[in-house]
Amino acid sequence: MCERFACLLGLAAIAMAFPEPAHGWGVQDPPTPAPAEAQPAPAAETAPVPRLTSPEVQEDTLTEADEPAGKRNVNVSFGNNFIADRLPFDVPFNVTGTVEQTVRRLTLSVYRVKSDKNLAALINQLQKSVDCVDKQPPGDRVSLSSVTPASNGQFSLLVNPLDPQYYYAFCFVGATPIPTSEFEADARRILASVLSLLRTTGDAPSSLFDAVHGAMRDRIARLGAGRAVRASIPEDNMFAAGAKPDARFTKLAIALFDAYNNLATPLDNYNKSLGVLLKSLETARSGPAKNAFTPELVAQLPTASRPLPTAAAAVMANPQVDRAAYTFDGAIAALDKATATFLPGSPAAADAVDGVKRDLQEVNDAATQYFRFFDALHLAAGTFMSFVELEARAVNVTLGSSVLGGDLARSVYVSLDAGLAYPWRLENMVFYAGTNIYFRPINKAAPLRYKGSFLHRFSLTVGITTTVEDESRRAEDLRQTPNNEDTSNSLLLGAGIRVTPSMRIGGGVLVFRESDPNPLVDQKSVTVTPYVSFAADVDVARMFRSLF
Amino acid sequence: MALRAVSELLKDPTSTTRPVDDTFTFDVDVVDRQARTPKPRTLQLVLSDENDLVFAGNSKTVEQVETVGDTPVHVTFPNKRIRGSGADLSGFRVSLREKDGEVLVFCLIGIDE
Repeated sequence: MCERFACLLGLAAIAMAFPEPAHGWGVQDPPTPAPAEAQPAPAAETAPVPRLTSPEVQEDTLTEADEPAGKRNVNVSFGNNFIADRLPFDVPFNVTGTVEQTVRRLTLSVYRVKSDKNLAALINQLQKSVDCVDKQPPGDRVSLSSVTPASNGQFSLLVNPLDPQYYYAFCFVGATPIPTSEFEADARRILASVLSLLRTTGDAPSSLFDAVHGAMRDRIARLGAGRAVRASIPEDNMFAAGAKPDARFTKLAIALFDAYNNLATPLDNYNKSLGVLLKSLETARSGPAKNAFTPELVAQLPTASRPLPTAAAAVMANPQVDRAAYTFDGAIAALDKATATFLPGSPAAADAVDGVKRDLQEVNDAATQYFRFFDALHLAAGTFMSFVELEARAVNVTLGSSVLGGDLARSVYVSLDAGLAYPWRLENMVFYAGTNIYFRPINKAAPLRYKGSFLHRFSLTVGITTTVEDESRRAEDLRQTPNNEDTSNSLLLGAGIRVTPSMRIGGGVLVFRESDPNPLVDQKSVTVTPYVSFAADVDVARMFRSLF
Repeated sequence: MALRAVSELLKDPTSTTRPVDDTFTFDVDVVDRQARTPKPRTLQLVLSDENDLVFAGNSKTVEQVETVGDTPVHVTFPNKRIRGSGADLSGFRVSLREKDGEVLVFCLIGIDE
């Protein structure tokens, strides 16, 4: 499903207001626990994103709102574009799942739009994005979180509370590292190209290392951007955008500085000594020592046509340098032998050979010294490579939302209500049971301190009361039982406000029957009186579930 | 007579802190292949003119006389104190040369932030 070095990016659109029941496509992954490495979301990159919140324990009530945010896990399967669990709303929750083990960082952006038409446009834009941010997708990004998956690929991403009655697109971006072998040659060429910045005969001012670091960082960034699958420098890398040279870089830069600038002296010495050697060799071979310089010996001597390798070669992975061509110990030993064997009693010849030998030793010393720093430069280049990292993101979008939460489909929320009402101008209080009708879906687990808008709290109430008694007012219940043997009822119409997730206060009118004050008139009329109430919301479904 | 360094100029410690006030030991191998007999040579460690760092005695150089012939000799400059602000530097150069001669080899000492 992914490109070679690319990440896994899954895009799931969640229509939270769809009326269909929950169902799924494909095979569901088994639920996986949230990994311990789960991390909270970082700050948004561009647009400000609401802060991720986590409900705190409420001391006044004991409801699901007291549960920590991380307890709610919604499992996703990238293989099947499948979201296995019902999506909660109004509470933060975790999206959990498993990604390929090569994924180093996983980011989730959640966008919200108002209609399914906008959702189509949103998904279309996200499909063109490489990070779920560029291409300016329509809609509001309401949650952004990022995590480093565990070694087995498991992840857990915190999502901000989502409002119901909207359409949502979940856009996942996974970033996978690019193997060093994919860009090593280019990175080494970058190093070679910035070496000249280090050339100085003086100290290493901070500005020098800043410039070298900046040049490396910019060129590495361009290297990543120029790849077929665009790659970027990881945020925590030494060469990440905005990163400043740190102690690691200073150590690297000093090694590069030392090795690179120290190449100059032995190189100069080598060339000078080689010139002197070739001249003294020519003199010696035309003089009394000519017999000492056999063709075999001459073949071992350095030639002007064999220059030392360049500094640029030192930073390559395999410099391809024949070190033996610059080691003249064998020729020096041969000259020693020639001096002893062929030139006894001939001081002039011995001096000539000795002169060649000394010049050759200087060439040899210069070459040895040169390769000492050549090797140091090569080693520093290897260290440099260990600091360079690239990671790629790619789009591979398949749309598939398979789960629509049943409780998210409701446009209103209905709950049972039971409480105590105090009617005005009646002698007694009454118990009542009724129905609360909210004008939006309500998640009782959502703390009111975070989701406490008017519509989260307000509802209409319709209820029936226990027996209304007030002799002085001749009150009678609206519905009476024969002989008043059983409880009779009156009607309660009103509205209420939740003050805690489950406790509410309310007010309205009590509808009852009242006898005419004239005892001669045997007539009853329906009348009302205001009331105030204190009640508890009852989750009927949960109550029934608890019974079985 | 050409004096040559045939090793790196090793420093100990390899870095210091700002402001600089530290004691360093330097090691190097030198040789003069053209010297038929060993002779005393004056070797100098030199700090760059472009900074405010100095050796003891507020000098930019320290000297040491070593007998050098056509076989490499190991030279140690022990416990050389260097001090100064080191402002705006990530590292400073210490060069080895024969007195009034060309630089033979140098090293860079890092200044930790």
